[in-house]
Amino acid sequence: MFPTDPVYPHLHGGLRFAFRKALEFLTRFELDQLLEDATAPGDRLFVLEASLDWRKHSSLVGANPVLRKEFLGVIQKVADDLYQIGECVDGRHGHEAVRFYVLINDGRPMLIDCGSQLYRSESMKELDQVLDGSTPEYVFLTHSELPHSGNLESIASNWPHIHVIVSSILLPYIEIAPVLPLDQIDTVPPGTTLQIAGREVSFLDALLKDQPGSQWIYDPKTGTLFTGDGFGYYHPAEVCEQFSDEVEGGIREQWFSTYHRDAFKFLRWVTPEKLNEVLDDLFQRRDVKIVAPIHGNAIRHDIPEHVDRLKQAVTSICMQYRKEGLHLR
Amino acid sequence: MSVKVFGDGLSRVGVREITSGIFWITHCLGDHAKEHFSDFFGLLSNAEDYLGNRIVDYPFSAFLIIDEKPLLIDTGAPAQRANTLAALDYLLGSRALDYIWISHIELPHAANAAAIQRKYPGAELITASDGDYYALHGLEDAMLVSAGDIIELGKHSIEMVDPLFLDHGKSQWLYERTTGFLFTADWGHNLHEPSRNQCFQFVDEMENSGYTDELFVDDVAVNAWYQFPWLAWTDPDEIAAAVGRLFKQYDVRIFAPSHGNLIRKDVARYAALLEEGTRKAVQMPHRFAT
Repeated sequence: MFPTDPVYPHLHGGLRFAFRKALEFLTRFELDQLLEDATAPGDRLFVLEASLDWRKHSSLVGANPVLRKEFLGVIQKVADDLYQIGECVDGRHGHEAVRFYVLINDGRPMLIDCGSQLYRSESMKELDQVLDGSTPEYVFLTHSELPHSGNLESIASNWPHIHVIVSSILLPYIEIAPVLPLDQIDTVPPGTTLQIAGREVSFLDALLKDQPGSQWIYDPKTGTLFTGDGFGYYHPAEVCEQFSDEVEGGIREQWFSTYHRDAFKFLRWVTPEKLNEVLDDLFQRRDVKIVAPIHGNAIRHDIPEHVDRLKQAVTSICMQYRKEGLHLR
Repeated sequence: MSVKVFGDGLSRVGVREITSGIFWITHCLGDHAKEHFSDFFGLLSNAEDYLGNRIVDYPFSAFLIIDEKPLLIDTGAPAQRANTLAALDYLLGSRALDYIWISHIELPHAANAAAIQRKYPGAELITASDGDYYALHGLEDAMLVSAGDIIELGKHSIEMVDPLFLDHGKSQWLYERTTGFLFTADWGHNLHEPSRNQCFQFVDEMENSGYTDELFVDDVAVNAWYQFPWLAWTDPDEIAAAVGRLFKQYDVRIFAPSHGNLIRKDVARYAALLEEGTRKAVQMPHRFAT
């Protein structure tokens, strides 16, 4: 169905536009078939990128509720070799994203979290597309709750030699589902920097977390800080497939606020200035170009402004709790 | 001490009656503790106090109230699934299980819910109402309850309690009114020493083999420091006052955390020590690795 001529990955301008326009008339099934047929080096990635572009910009997706539902699970290229996968779930506060991330890493891929048990087959299919035949070597779990590790069984089943890295505050034998041998799970203390599969990766304390054994992960190559539950946000359906720079006005303080109030009820006790000081310290020490939350799309522009919005959201939540007197109960 | 133990090592589960109709279903590592806790306690500046001078262990507990409508408090972790099911079988026999009450959705607390429901198809899940997106956590069909809500089990009556100290947003504590049993999930942990045969003991029994008030305060502090690092950003007086109010509000006669041995005697004295230990956790230095 798809010509395997390697010239296709290098299409530019009008031809590329025409090809993408053609993709608009394909169904999800036909797109998948196209991906299966594209076997030449680079073709799969080209089709994938084109289809991502289609998903993000096609008016068909926005207008057609069936297609929109079908594409709530999305693959998006964040930057360089970083991809975002996952789905959204609907709820009373709007949509909650449940993402995970893949660093292609020159054919030695690493996953940051691995998706929830919901939509497992869709997530695995999307992961297969991004991996394009390569074998993932590591899963870095921000923590082990189901939305972050629920898909680990499928990952371990598909790639039985995969290694998992978790915080040393997490007890693997009891806090991770027994779906792979314990000697394939390594623990690292917060503050550790390692060379893994040829790439430097730092494992940090998770500053906003809902499980003690949580970690944030920093990839200096892309400047990405993977923040687990931190920096999550509930969002309207219109922006499910948009990165911060594609959302007019960026990620709203209110979106951060609604999510963080739900996720971090301990904020009733917290003096926000103390927490915000540690957040400032982190962002001063690391050259963060992208913030990659699991419960939101990657924030890849104007990081200082978004950090300020998060800090303001945290401050508002803490003040609201005090107004409600929850710290006196 | 009468304890029925199912399995051994990483999967063992012990069952002990606490008071008439309430059973402790608990896993701890025993002789394997040092091997699995070395990385965990290794973060402390005084790690040797937990891995050498004392080699400590840490339980993961569920509780079963047997009444006209039996209720299970938390479910244990996947690694102990088979032995937890065996323990339930031993305790319930042919009886039905009416409720599975979930404190929060971390694996050691909630991960066996589906397996237990398969064994007891009539069992209804109960979880905290203050949240959304329950399907993500496998709780889409659960009964949602709030602090102050009461469920009558027969002779026992459980009241949902506002979880003062929590990690996950969908959390709750529980108080059983007839026996004064307070379950506080991840707060208020003590540690025990397998080498002193303290596995499955109540804290008053541990006192006979060297457990002291000083150790208790340290253990509560260290566990809270790990469990709730956000305490570093709080006011110690506010936190201590909250503990004081808790024990004024509830007539606690049995104190049952998920990850500590049970306190069934002298609860008033231990309430004061819990307040002291939690205040100490706030004051412990916490340097975040950023």
